[in-house]
Amino acid sequence: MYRVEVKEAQYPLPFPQRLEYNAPVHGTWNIVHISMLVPGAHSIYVCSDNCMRGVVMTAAEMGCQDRFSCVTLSEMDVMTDNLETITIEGTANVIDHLEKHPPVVFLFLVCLHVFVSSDEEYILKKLRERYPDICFVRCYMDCVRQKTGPTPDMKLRGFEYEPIVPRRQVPGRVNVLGCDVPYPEGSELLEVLGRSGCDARQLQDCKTYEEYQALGEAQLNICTYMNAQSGISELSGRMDCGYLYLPPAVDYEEIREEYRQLEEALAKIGLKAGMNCRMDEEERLCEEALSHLKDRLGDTPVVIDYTCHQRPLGIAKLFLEHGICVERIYLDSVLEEEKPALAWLQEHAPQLEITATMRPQAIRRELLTGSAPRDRVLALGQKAAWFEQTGYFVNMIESGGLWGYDGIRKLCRMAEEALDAEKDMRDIVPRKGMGWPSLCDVPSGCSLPGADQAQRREEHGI
Amino acid sequence: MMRENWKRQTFWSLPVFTGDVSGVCSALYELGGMVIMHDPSGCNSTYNTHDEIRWMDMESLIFLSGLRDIDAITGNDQKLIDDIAESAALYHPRFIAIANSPVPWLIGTDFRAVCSKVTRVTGIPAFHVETNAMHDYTYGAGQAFLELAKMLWEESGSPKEDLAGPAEDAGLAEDVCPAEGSGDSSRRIRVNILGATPLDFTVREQIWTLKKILADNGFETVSVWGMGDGLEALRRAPVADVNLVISSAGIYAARFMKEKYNIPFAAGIPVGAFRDTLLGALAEAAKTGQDRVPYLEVLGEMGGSSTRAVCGEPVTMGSVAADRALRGQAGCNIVCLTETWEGLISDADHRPQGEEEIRQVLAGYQDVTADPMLRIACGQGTEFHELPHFAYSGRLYLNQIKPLIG
Repeated sequence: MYRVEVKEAQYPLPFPQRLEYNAPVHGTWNIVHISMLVPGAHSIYVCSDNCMRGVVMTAAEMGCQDRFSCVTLSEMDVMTDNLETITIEGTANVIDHLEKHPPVVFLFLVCLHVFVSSDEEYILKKLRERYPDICFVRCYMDCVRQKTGPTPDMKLRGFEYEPIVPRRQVPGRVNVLGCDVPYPEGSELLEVLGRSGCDARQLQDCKTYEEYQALGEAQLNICTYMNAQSGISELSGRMDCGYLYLPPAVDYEEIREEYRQLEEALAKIGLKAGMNCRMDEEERLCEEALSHLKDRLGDTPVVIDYTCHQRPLGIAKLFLEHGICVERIYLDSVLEEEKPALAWLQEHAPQLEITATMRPQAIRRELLTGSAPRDRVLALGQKAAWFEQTGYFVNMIESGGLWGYDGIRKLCRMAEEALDAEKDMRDIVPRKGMGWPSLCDVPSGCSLPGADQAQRREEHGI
Repeated sequence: MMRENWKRQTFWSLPVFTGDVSGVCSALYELGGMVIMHDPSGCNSTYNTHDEIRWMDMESLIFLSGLRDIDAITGNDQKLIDDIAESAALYHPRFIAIANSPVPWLIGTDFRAVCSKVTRVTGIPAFHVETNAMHDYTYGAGQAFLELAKMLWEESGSPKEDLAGPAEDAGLAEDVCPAEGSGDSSRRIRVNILGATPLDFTVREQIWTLKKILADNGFETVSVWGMGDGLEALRRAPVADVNLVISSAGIYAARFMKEKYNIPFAAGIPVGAFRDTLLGALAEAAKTGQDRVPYLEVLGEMGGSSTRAVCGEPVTMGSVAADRALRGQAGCNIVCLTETWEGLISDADHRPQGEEEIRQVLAGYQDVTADPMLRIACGQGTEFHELPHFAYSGRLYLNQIKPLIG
């Protein structure tokens, strides 16, 4: 089973977990990208060669090779002790060869450390004794545990804030954290916070380690990304400050509820919320945008994937409510926060197709799509574009910095723009970590001549 | 006694080579089999990102098992067997290969039993490739070719003479070998090309160039292991008179065929001025039954070098060095960075491990030819010649990789 009608889709896993296919679509971030957001931090991975390859090349392709190091593991390391010696001494050997000591070392331990029960506390104690000027943060690339507990990515979204030392809170200071894609200036969330007298900061704004540490001065942490909830909630506990989860909702009622929660949270820190008082008007403008999109699309089918936006089912609901032809959603699991949208779709669009991206059948795209590539389909997300083999797609990951009513309208605009200009899908989707430099060539179908690489390096100052 | 190997396992700025599991996938990619990486999915799923250029255009049944901690802890191998059987029923692969990763290795998963059960359940031959993600691609691809050879001949017990006759799937892929030259094919020396994966031969056309060179010089290619030929062509490999090992990944199958069918091998690729030397050695090996590594002979005659080095995989770099030596009449040493080296480098060459040793060795040379990512490991005044290697720098210099054969 690799596709089901939504009425049959079970929560949270619509498909059995069996052998897995991996599509050549890599725009989302991995743990290397995430850890690089902390200014000056150096990542050290202690793992076996084959497992190392993906992360070391990620760092190289994003131009951050100088902030990444590896210690490889051998059979002998496992036999002689529980990996403590190689982890401590290998890490020390890396640090001794760096030009200067980084303020933070993210030390990534792996499945083998877990299975041989490495004494992680001992490892960290020894390293901290030897390098007291460095903040060592234990991180994990323990994929073997990701189906029965938090994924390495979810854990890292907490670890990346671990070095922050809580400071005296500064009135009006608010952190907006969690999402890899920063909220741009003019984003509805930042606008509202600005009108409320907040000094809103994001991790992506931090250019220095001091600016990063200054995140510890906030009165309120707002998390907008589901995988970061646990980590930012924990950070907020340490900082003894407020915490609020405000995901990029695409449902009017939910957006109103988020505004209500924000107002309440700001009031607690003594700020009168510069709330959006024109919610009816905002919703009317959204209706206009959706209507315009519907007219532009005509009967063009829309397909949506889970990498594009954390609410693929919510978007399907929103679009279907407005007469837009949503044909298929690509996802492998359903988030808890999408349960209401799932229930709505099961009742109102029971035949909407849910298609897996990781099942072995996905290797033959015609099995998924049921036909050869069509003249026109609009895809929201890279994976949807890949499986549909279309260049007409919204190139976005993790909700793309969209939020609130404006987020809905921007999504409509982006969809229309995607219809207007065909993208070079085969050149875009294999590139890792959207938003970072991509200093690589991509296999066949690549439109970039090798000579362009030098230019790209120059553009990125690398 | 405390070991101090960590220095040889540390890379503070250099990358690691493609690993063994990816090597398995690359070697078996075009043979119509199904390859399972018994792995949690995550780290090794990046195979298709950095180690495989065919993924977007050429379908291959390569999957991850998605191993979970609970299944590893409880030894639930039945899930793996069931999951493989499900996909095998869907795709009917020619064979099933299982490569494993650190956790199954650590807990001692009985892959022989797993493969036996998979074969019983599916009716499809299954074999295990002994990886654990702690080795490089030359080992992984080499083991994959070796296990495939065992599957093809050892169990069937096919004698060499039963394998004569053309294979239906020779040149199975899109590219057909150019004209096979002229003359009576019965007098031709029959040759297998071993170790042809995109990890070392990223420009695919090189393999067809190689077949044409062989055809034009009195050889007949029986099979190409890694690119282009299908399983039936490989099954006929024992009819060959000699094996041409074009990468260190091919040496494992070459030694197996030597032992089982007494087929000798010559190692090298026909680069520039080294071409005739290699072809001569190949013919000589076929005639005498003696294995040859002609680039070492060329470099040995030059007496090595204290100033010039080539750095990377030994068969390719040895051949490049031999070409330069023959053209410039100057010696050159090999700095072998990959794991499969026995018999493929000389005592005068180097085999550094870890970044510290690599830097120490390369700092001693004034003229270095290597992948661009190794430039930072050389001394400041070193004359550096870039030779991108996909198994090292991956996609970083993909479009700058040039064919060497010709």
